[in-house]
Amino acid sequence: MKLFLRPITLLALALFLLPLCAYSYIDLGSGSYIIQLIIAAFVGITFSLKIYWKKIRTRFSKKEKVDKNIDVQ
Amino acid sequence: MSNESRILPSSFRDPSGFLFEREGGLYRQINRIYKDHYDQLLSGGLYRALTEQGLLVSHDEVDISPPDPQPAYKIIKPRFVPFISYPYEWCFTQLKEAALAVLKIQKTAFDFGMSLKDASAFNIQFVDGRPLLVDTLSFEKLQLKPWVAYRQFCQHFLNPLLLMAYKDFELNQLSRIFIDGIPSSLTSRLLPFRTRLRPSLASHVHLHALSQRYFSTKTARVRERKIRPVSLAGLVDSLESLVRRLNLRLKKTEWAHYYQETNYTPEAFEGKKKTVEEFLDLMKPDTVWDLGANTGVFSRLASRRGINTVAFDVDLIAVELNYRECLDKNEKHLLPLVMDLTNPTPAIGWENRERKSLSERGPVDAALALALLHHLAISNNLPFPKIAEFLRRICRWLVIEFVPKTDSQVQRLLATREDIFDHYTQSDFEEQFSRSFLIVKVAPIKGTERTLYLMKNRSCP
Repeated sequence: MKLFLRPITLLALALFLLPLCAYSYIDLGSGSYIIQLIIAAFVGITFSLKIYWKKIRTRFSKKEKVDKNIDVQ
Repeated sequence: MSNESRILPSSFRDPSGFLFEREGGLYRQINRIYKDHYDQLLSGGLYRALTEQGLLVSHDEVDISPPDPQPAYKIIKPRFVPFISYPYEWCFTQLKEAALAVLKIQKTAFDFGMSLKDASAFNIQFVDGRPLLVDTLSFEKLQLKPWVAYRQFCQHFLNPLLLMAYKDFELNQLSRIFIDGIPSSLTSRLLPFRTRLRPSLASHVHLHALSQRYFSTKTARVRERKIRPVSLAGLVDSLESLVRRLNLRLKKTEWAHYYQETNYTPEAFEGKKKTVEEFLDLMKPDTVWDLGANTGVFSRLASRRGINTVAFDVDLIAVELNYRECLDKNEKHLLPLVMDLTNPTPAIGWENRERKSLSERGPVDAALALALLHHLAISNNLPFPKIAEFLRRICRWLVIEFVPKTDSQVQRLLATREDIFDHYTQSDFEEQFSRSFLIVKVAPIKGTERTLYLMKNRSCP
């Protein structure tokens, strides 16, 4: 059970940090809504890194291929 | 409202439109409330991109009178889907392929400035062997806000897949009880502890369930929050990598016995196949249901003739193997499904009319009931008249195999129980089935004591 307390604390902290405003009421889906915001914030960062990493790899692999071609010629 | 149209009982949740039948054709009315989204789907290029990839059902706009003219914008006629199946009839790989298709659709939709507004597994059908989104009204213009279908995707796809992969592959049957998908709270309770240690599982399932529980008794006042496009894409990417990594964990022995099912010689087996092929050529059916299909050896005799064939079996592993073969060989006319014929899929949902029962999806042109009769009659105590009555309701033609008591497979069934089946004789079988069917051909299978029958339903023209 103790293992659950940490996620709950994190969740509560995250909610506290989120600017809450009275624009609209949301229903029972609010739990999914909030967790999605939190997950999206984290995976957004990792996804950006993933894209940059892919770009870097593509650039280097292209260079390697070009170099190999030069060697062959 | 026009009298000759029948609005489908499953089509009521989305105010964007509804499905209706008229003169044997299936149509969809699109309401004006959905006009902008539909126009963008068509003119923005997303419809073309998805239909070309075989991910979205194609349609034609038709000029017929709408059943409900007041809100109507357009009427479309979607491509015909040969057989409607439900997620609780799918094996693991079918559900996984369907989940990946939904995520691919969502990623493609992002590229065209749109997003899925729902992610119901009931909107996916298997056509040409692949999952296809059949609800044209599932898209909306992309707004930088959380994905509205996230919870539905988790409940309809992610949670059942996780339960099948980590707990037991038979848990797909829970989707039949929970028509809007398996709740995250139940999934979280059922999954093993080690799943809490994986960040993607911990967040999409366990923290998700905690969050739902936390807010279930509270009214959260939350501002309409914007979300960055990269975060939306990251969310879908995270779900996709999670789903892609899931696999059925089975011991080698659990797969092994499917390759050595029969108790007769290869010559007898080939003879049986030849007779079934001859019967298929005589019947010339457009649709076939193979009842108790196992891994689909005999179903393929029909599907390889271009006949749309559904291969039902109660055994989820047999269905899994069958579907994997369909994928490997890119088979377009075979649909393997999980079905317990002693307790076939019932009609469920609102008024018990939202999702159809098995027999409501018939009758089929031809049914194959090979090596099935003894399982129904002896393992399940079903008298011949009851079996004949069920088959009479679901098919026009019937290919059925009679397996006598002296056969080793029947002896195996009788080994642990008293033989109370005095009426299980070939003459009684013929007499009882003759009341519902006309016996057209009788073909003993050489090298065995078994007999194949070709029968025609007496109540069909």
